[in-house]
Amino acid sequence: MPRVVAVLRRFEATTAVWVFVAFVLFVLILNPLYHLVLESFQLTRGQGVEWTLRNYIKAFTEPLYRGPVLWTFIVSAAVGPLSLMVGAAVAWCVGRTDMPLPGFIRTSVLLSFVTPPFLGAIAWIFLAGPREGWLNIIYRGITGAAGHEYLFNIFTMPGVVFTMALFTFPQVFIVVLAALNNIPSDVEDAASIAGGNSLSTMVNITLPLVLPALMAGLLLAVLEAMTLLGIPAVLAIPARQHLMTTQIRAIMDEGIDAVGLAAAYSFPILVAAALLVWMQRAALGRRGYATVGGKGGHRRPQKLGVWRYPVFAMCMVPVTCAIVLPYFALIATSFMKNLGHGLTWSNMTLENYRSIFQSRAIASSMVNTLLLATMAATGATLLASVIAYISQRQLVHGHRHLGLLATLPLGIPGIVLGVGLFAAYTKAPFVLYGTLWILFLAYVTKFLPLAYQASNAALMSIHPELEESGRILGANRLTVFKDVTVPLFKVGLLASWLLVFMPSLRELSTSALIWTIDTKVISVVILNLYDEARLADIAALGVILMIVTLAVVVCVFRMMGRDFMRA
Amino acid sequence: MSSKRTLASFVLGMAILFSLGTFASAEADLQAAKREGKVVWYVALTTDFNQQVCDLFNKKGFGVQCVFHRDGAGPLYRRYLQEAKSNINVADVFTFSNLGYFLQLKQGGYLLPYRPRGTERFNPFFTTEDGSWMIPLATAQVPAYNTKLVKPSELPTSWTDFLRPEWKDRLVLPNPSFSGVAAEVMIVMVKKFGWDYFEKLAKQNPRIVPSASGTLTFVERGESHMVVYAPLASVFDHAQRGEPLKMFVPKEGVLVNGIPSAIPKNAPHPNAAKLFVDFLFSREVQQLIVDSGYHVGHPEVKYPPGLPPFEDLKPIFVSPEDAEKETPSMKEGFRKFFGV
Repeated sequence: MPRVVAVLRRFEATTAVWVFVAFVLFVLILNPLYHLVLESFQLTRGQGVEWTLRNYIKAFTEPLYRGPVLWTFIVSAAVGPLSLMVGAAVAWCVGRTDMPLPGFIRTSVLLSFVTPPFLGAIAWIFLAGPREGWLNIIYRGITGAAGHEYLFNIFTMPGVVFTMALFTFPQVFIVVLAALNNIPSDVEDAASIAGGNSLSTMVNITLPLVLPALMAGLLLAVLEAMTLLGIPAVLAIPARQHLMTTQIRAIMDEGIDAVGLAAAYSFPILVAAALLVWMQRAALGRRGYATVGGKGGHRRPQKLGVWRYPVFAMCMVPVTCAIVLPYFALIATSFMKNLGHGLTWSNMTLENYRSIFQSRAIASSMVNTLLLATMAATGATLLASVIAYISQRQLVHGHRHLGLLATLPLGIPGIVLGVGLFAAYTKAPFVLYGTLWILFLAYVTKFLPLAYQASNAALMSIHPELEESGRILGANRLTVFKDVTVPLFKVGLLASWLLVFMPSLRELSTSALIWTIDTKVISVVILNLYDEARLADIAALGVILMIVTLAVVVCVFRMMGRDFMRA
Repeated sequence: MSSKRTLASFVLGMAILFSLGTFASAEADLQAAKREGKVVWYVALTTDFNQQVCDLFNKKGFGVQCVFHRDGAGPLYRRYLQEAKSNINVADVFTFSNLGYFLQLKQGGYLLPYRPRGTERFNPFFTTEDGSWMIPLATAQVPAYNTKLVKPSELPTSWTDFLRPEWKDRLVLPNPSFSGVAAEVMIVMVKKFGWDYFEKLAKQNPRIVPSASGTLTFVERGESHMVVYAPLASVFDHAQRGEPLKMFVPKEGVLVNGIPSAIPKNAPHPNAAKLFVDFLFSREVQQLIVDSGYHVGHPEVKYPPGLPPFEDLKPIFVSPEDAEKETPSMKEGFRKFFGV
């Protein structure tokens, strides 16, 4: 009896909130996962099902399935470090130096994040297709090389890696930039006083302090590379190599039991996700990464001196490849009457834009998409930040596993996750099929890992001393979280929000199964046009999508004030 | 003796009753359809075309609203099965390709047989005896070339001409792992020329792309000069829009594949579905379909200029049973020679 009283005395009312949030996470992630696991052990027999291991046996013994697994691991092992290097370097230049036009670079990188990857891949076919790619035509024009010679061939595995890196480095950039914004200059000044130059300060002081963000960025990039479908479909198939996602897509067409086999086949990606989370934890260890404490906090950019313009030029390289060139290709295509008559004045038209603005279906899917992206970004950010807080401040039992749980959806290819979500939300107690809510929950589930990784990395930089002083002054945990923690890591929150908002605008592989007539989203419209080989209309829609996003991003930055993701 | 006769007539009577029940009456019940008020069409044709058909149907004043859900054939099939598994009834009418899917649906007991009005006069290729599904439209898989890059004198006359040295590096092919019709074309070719044909075709180093219609953008832009087989209706549509694209029929003939329509057993608006299927097979809609570049079974339609009539295609057919049985080995063989 005295024990119970002691427990009750230690019990805080706010604990109920933490337990509830942890429970929401639990249901959100495990419900669709449970249905997928179930499918993977079943085969249809007449009207019933048979329990079996045959899906797993086939997935791991079929010789045709091995090459794609191997190549998926090779490609993502290349894409991960490449995105990390590019994303972190550009983030450092934007966030910590006096390089010119940092805002331009920042916005451009963010924009490359809304381009549907398969659209980016198509744009790169226009640019670097061996025969008719514009870059190759220019190359032949300059060198006088023969018609069959080329400088670039995008239909190669390096081409696949290159294109994937263009669409994954923004994730690294967003997480790292948010972390860099929190580092006060005094630690860097100390290094300078001790005789370090800009470079050694960056390598020895700044980078180690943002290690949590770097790890988070790497994890996101590797898993994104493993689960991307659009780029391999457009580029790797012509390069004569299946990756796991294209193989899964091919399996899914094979009949009634395809889902179970596809789920079993995606198992290695899930294992890779769990392994990466474990490695991340091991690499970060128990060291402290707090950069936001009770003192100081003044930030000053590094002076680059004569290197200002060369550094800017370096940052322009990824921006050119991810935004300038592809959007040049898309904009040019969007004004073409016929693909077959090339870039000539007589082949120009506004018809593609007119047909898009006239379509009511496209207008309503644009509204649906923006609404969903905003809701999902807000929902996922709220959930992720609380989860990160619970797990870092160790507020409930099993807090160590919350991080893993919140990262797992990254390990499931979108097309397979869609099946799990479908099963989870078409049965009691959650019958949501046909409403926007199922898409909302799908996006929250799918992109929660991004928001969680960003929030977690940002939260690591906040020293608990600030919260403790609030607690000493008599506030409970919830009040402290609201009044102290959240204002301190609002940069991390914005990073989370953008990391969910942007990809929600382009999400396709999961939406593909759960959209309905009344809940169409823009990526589905794009896919339908692609089925009809209407590339000029797609290009026009891509350009419109980019402009709308640009407007939203600029508004958000204005609303949040200049301190948000300072550039 | 007399009891035997009674039994026989009883059995016969039951059989007639039963067949009336399953084949339904030939006429759709207009009043019942009106009460249902809506028909949901799962269709893999182009958005523009679906919209045209629905608009036309809605203007007829049946009191039934047509809405369509447009997606690829594979995704529609998957979605329907997922919905059926969760006891969600949305679809009233299917129209998407691959007879193999419909064979699976029939074997699984998912389909409501129905023979729409007037189809007894159709070319038999477009009908089935039991009405499990009917074929409102078909298209052929034809070679097509970029008119700016291929000289008329170069044009192949036989499928085997694609193996000649001048076509090296200039061809594009769809991948049968993603495109059901690509697998069906392979069935025809392998039957005619043996696997040898694809082994030699692989040495021509063609570009491989996932979807059948995706091959067209490669040819239009000149990244490839000729697609070995692509849907005739898409070629027709793109050529109408002004792309430098032209088809031809090799002397051996071309695969014609039907795009079936059926009513699922769990259709929430079965009477409206029958009314809509009748409409799909009416002369008015059949003419609309033909004008979009497809082929139909209606005896009275007029083919637009540039679209060869059905017989001129020298059509070759693949039975759904063969398609179902052979497709896996086609995908495997393609993988062996082309890597994907």
